[in-house]
Amino acid sequence: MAGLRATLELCRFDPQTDREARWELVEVTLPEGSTVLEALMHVQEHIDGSLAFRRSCRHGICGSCGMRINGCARLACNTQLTAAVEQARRMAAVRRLAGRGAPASADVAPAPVRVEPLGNMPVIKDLICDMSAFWAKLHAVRPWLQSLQEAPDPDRERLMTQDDWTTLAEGVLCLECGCCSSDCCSLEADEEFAGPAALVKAYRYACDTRDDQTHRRLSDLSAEHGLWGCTRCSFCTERCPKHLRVRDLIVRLGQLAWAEGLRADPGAERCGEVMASVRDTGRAHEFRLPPRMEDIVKTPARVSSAARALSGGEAGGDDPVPVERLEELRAILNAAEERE
Amino acid sequence: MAMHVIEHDVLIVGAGLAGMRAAVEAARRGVRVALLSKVHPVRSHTCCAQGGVNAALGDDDSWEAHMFDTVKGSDYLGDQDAIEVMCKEAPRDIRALEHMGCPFSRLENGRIAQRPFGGAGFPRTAYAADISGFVMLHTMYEQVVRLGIPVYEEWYVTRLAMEDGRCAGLVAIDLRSGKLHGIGAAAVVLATGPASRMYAPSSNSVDCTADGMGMAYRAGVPLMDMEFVQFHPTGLRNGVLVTEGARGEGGVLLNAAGERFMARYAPHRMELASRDVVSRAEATEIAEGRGIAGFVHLDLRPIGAERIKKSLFQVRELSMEISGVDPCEAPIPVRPTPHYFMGGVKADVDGATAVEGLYAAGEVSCISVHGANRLGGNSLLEATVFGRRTGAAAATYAAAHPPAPFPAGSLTAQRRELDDLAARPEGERQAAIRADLQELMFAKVGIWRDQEGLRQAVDGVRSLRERYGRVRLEHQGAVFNTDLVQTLETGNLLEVAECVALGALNRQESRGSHARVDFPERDDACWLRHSLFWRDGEQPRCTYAPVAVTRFVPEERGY
Amino acid sequence: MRYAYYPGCASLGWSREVDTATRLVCARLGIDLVGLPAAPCCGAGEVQQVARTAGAALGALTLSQAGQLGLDVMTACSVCMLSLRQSRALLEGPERVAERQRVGAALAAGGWRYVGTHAQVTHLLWVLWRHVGVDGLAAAVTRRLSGINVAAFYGCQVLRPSTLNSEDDADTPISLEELAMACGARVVDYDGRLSCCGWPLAASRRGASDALATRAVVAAATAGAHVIVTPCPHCRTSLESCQQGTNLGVPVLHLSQFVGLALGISSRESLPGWYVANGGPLAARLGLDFV
Repeated sequence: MAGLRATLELCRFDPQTDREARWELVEVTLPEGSTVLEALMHVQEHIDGSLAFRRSCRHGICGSCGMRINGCARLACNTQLTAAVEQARRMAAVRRLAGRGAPASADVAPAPVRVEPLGNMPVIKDLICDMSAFWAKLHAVRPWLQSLQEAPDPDRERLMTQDDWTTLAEGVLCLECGCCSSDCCSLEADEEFAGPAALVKAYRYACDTRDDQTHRRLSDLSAEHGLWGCTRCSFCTERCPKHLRVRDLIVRLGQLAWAEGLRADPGAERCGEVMASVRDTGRAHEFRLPPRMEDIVKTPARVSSAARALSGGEAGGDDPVPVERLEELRAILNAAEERE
Repeated sequence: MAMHVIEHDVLIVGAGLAGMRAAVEAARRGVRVALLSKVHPVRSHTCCAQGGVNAALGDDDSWEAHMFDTVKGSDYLGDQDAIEVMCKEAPRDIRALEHMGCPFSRLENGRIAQRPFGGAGFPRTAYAADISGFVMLHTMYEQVVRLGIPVYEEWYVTRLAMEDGRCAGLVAIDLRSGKLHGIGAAAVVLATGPASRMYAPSSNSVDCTADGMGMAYRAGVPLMDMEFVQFHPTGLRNGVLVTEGARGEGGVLLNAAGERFMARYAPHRMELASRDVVSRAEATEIAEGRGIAGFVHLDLRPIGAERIKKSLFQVRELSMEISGVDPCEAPIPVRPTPHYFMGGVKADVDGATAVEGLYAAGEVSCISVHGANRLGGNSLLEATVFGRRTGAAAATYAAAHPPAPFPAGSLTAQRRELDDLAARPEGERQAAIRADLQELMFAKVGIWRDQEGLRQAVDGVRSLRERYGRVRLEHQGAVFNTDLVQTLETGNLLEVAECVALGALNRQESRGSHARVDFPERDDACWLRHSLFWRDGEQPRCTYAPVAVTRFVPEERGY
Repeated sequence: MRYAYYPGCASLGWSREVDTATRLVCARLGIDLVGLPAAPCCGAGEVQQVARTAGAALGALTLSQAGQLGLDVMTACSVCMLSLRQSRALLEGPERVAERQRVGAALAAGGWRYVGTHAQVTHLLWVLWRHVGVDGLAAAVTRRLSGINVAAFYGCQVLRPSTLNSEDDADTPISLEELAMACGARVVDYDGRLSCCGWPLAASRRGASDALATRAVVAAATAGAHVIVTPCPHCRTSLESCQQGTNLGVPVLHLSQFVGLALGISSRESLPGWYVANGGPLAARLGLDFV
């Protein structure tokens, strides 16, 4: 039977016997069209019964099988093995450029497909992570409908417009699979950051017209490890198996929070300062915005000398060339503010 | 090994829609309730349900009409008193879900939207695009979190613990540590879902392995109507489904000649006849050479790309990923696929079983509201209505009865069994046994059944059970030992499969999803009765129970 | 090749040398740059983070000005490129009717109309890689940067989200490496090439920002890099500034500066950017007599 051959490079760790993770190469031959999950199940059922991973629905709706394939967090069940093999080949080709001046040849043996557990989470065994912190953050946004209204009529549903449903629907399809959190750069730098999944869940409820706790929700999200801690890497959007525009939803939360007057976080403050600078000069005037150069650089003398060299020596030369038609811009920004 | 026994008033096995609905209801009554699930709650199979949930919400609809459609859909094997309860209570239950926050799709007037579904005389299937089960599951989970209901996540139940004929709790493995625990409870609710993984292909998630049916059966509870297995008409090549809602939205079925063949089988309801009728039609077309490489075509183009992308977006994505077809441009190859068990643990409308302290709700149970064939949209409904009722009943019982003393013997017996299994040095692993079972069931206990094939099936399952008696584990580790879990699951599949095959062999008529080539007619005189299967030594003992007929006299069933 | 040139505020601020280098490189390669004197800040993701209409309106203005000239926009800043592309996606995407109405009303207050439909947004990186091409660049090189180990640092906003940034593969990009090699340099394989420099958090969460930037620099240094090359002036500043108080000493150059070197462009105006890291060793390798 014509089959698909691939080599998997599996990250293995058994807490009972291993002190640290190790890599294992396994060769598989499977029918065309097989997914990475089918490859793993084949390994577990026929080659090595000790391999442990989560899986259930096998069609991308339960969210169980999140893992890093070639370093990218994905669901194994909707990743085609051929695509993973091709990606591994490309990565190997790029890596081979290192140390050489000539482009790499494409005729090399198929590079192994790396399979390892999700990032930003402790590993329990093999490809199974401890997701308790992930769930705790989801629970912390109080992900249930909150309404101070009296108990609704049991024979009548609350009404909702189709447009409101469409807005809400953007956040509903989150599988809570952990792929976004796995590759989130903010989580890498700050493990207490709420994380994209919790923010998507918060968005889903902040936008639900039947919920009346929006202000409180946004206020909670504006805390130290909340939405302003997003570093805008967009890995969340990139990794989401349901193609949710996660980063855009986080932006939307920021817009909603700002509109509610929740502007105390230094991240929010900076946004406001940039906006004020743009209104004032047409530019995000770096010399006048935080972070101050002096906070970053130990040798302000270098800075000033560079600036002076460019401008001809005057301190006022720090300012960039002003934007033309500034009055028109100001009128536009004022009008925009009315429409937020 | 320390025999630590935890205790709850109500312990619910399975955290899908039925289990969590029961938990929420029990928690509202102030009893100490806990959920136990072999996967995280939001991974439960409920999330795979796409099309929607039925209720007579519309001003021009009525619960009586819903009841009639359900009774007829069941080919008159459903218990009409139970169906009446379900259909009467449906509207309030669906609205209650909406009040909890469930994001149903809406009409222009802001009310919950409903689409046509198979076997229904009125569009009464409420939905959320084509992720209905998913949103209902998540809504329910969020209520569980709100109420602070504890969940034993990734614990696998191996047996029920019985004391003096009463259920005293259960024995379970904490998969994370491999430790065996006894948990005592005044009331145990089984909400463990489906069993279609005894077939391949199957629409079911990998872990839908009849665990609840198996453990109840071993505890002395009869299984009912096991021969009735629903083949869903529109499964993709690997068993994953395309929702019936696609046909509800206007999708049509075509054979190789491009003909809408349902006109010859169900001239009135066409593609929206009951599922058994449609599946048999497809199987006939394929068998008679009018299929396309073993499939028929589901053409969604009449629906229009815009509506597909809005209300059937998951269908489109699955079709493209699994079959390489964009339904906006081309028809999808589909075929009948094992999907749902009408039968299960015999329970009443409050989830009570033959064993005191043991309840069952959702797909694991058989009340029976689906009889010989289930209507699409009634499974999510059953889970909701009877999940609630069972949670209430279990809570009431637990409030009046302390847990029975936990039988330490069950823990030691289970420990011994696991040790024996682990100690077996030689033997075959479970995968081949399970694969052989799946192939056997699909071939011999499929859409079309006959005496010879069913006899082979019964014998075949028995011989597989013998092989299973010599199964061995490859992996001995304690932490997340999938090998162990899958081996135990296969044991449940085998035990329950024997009832399925035997039931099909015994029932000499055709009714609903049970179609006998050698007995093609429905025989109400002899067979308007439920089949019951009791564990009796190594083989099932079969008895029969009457069907409750109240409002609708059985008549000929045509679509 | 001719573009409406959009330097962005960083290239007119701290990273002024990036603007200089970009102009000189484009002139050398025959790429015509036309100014947009009335183009405001792109919003830098900061305005967009709090104000949807204002953020989109800023982009609409720049796109309209380019549209009036009948040109595409080229920038050398990843943040500008992504912000402008996001504005464009709002105004040209599935929600464009509602977006154009909202943004259009704001523009009208300043006497403007959105006419940016035909103005695409691109980056110096794509212009060099796709239009000049690797061979075209190699042919224009006058000083091969042999013996220089380059750690290519893409940064986030030129690659992700890949729905807006489709020129190179977001998970296996190769453009920066190929351009570096076209200049005669070698590239190193290191673990940080696709990660975040942390710049968006620099003002509010310094610790996190530094941690991200430092991780990438350490990985580059460990892999033997002599220089880090990035297409974004913010990444350049972030990777440079995190090195203060350390002995990491890996200079960071913007793509325009690095390519400029290979095209024989090196001056205080195009290269004064070593604020923190010691550019001495690199300068020596390149035979530059100033630092």
